[in-house]
Amino acid sequence: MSLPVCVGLGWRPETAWLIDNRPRAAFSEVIAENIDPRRPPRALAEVIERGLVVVTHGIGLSLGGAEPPDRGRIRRLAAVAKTLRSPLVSEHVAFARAGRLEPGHFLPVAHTRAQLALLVDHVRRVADALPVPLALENIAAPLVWPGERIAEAELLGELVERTGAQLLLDVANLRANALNHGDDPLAFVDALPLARVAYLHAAGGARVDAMWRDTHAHPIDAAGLALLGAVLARTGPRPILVERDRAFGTRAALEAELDAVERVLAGAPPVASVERMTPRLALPPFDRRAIAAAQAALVRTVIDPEGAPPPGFSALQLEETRAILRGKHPR
Amino acid sequence: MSPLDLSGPDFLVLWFWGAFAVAGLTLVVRRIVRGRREGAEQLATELGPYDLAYLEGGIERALEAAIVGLHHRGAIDVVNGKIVVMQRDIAVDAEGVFRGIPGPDRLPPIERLVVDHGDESVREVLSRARSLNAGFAARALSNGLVIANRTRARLLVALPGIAWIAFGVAKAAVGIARDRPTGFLVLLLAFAVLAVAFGSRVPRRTLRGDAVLAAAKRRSYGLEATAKTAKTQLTSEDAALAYGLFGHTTLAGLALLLVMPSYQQSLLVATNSAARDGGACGSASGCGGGSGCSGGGGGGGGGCGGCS
Repeated sequence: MSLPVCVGLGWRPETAWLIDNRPRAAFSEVIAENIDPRRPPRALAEVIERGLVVVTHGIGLSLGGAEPPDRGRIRRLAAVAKTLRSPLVSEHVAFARAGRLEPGHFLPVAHTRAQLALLVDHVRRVADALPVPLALENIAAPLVWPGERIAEAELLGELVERTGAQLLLDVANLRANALNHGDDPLAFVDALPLARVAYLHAAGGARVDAMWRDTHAHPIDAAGLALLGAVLARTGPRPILVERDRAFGTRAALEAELDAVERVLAGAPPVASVERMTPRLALPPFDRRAIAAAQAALVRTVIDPEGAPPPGFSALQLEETRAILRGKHPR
Repeated sequence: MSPLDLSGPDFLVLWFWGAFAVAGLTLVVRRIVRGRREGAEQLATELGPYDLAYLEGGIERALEAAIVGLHHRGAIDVVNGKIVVMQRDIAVDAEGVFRGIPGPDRLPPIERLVVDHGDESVREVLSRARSLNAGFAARALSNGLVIANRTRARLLVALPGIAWIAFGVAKAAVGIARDRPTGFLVLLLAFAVLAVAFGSRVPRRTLRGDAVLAAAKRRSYGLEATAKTAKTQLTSEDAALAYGLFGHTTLAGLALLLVMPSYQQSLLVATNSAARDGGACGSASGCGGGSGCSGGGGGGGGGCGGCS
């Protein structure tokens, strides 16, 4: 079953009533780690019974981490997807832990062939264990690995074409990377195998301290909607999931935001399907220990600013990453 | 041979098995008295929040739901544990019903009552609200949601049991007249009276009323979740409906809860229970009658949070 082409809103208890009463928001998404597969929230179970299509969105697999994704976590993700009758599971191209170190936020993977090879291995393991297709999301990177060798879009394209996974294209994350690192979001999109895009994320953000943050706590502004429209002009109409995790405001305001996104979607012209991309990079065998050491060094410096940072990272970006973690996990 | 001429032990065996037949007949009569369920799903979408609140918990729940709705739109406030009316000339809530049902064209009488007398104690307002009970009851009756005459209904349900007890009393009388031992039969008759008294109780709602309430709650689980976590997402009518259906748990932690008569009663019950048991009661919120259990697991809240 594919997702309905419409604008949905992430399901939270805070948004449950709005979703119940907005039938044209025919699909939604739930954070898998917040759901007990044996006993989902009855409000969610009831709306699924009435026909809402729900994507299971994971945040805990750490696909880009040096260690293979934990089998227990994969099983749990599969169980949630089964309970929620999800046609799709999505996760992030990132790492969330390095050994026993957990920064509490996604960190970007290095854009190298070795990292790509590792990701291919991990995504295949997860995809084989899931009952439904897997979609991979691009993240908003608070920092950039020094000496990047592959463009992120190329890494994602190679990853999905080699594994059969789909893409969850997060437009808000594209914007954050454009504003913070000078990336060209439309060139990024043009380099992707667009036939693989299963759905889009859209969310509001704000400038906090030195950088733009994809906060999920602000309405999508005009620039964000314009970027969304430009992306849709390349992908064609796609299901769009609006993310809001905090500061929900009034229902009228949230509905107005969804209406605005619907207008952008309605204006998206159909696009002829694009030929699939052929993987072209030769992938080396990956060295887990080397990747683990590099990731651990990064996480240590993010958690403990007193230690010597690994060479090549921007001090500003490291400090910004620490600020994000402090905001998420205030001490 | 008349059953009354059976020996004592034989009669007891007959009377004992008769109890099962009586129980079955009682259930059938209760089922008939409580009516049918047809049309419940549709009706659940048509009733307003105060009629649904009345169905859940009578005039007290309807009044408390009105207090919640008015508080939500700032018409009243709670100061030092008492209601203070902030807006007497309150207009009909233009937000209307989010569920798509047309809003009222004038302030519902129960809201009018709170606004006009809200500066009195809530117990006094509740006393006044009983004058609206007839209107609520009439609508509930016309929709087949409550039993018209519970005393008569209870009598009907009790009839098989009464007949069974009468049969036993007749045998006891025969036994006494014949100077036979009847002590055990008399003891059983005492238990039988208690069993019939308990078993003949008839709920206030018909089966249709139960089904309408269950359907309304099922359709409103999302409302319950949002009422507990993001009240800014609700209209005042949503807030009233959430309280009307799910009770205290939708107000947990708010000063408003403390003025509700049902919550005060639940605190009293909890306090008396704790005093009797010599230990602390658990959380007082949700001890009150009719407050909905949130049910379900796993919350579902939070998100990947983006980059905050």
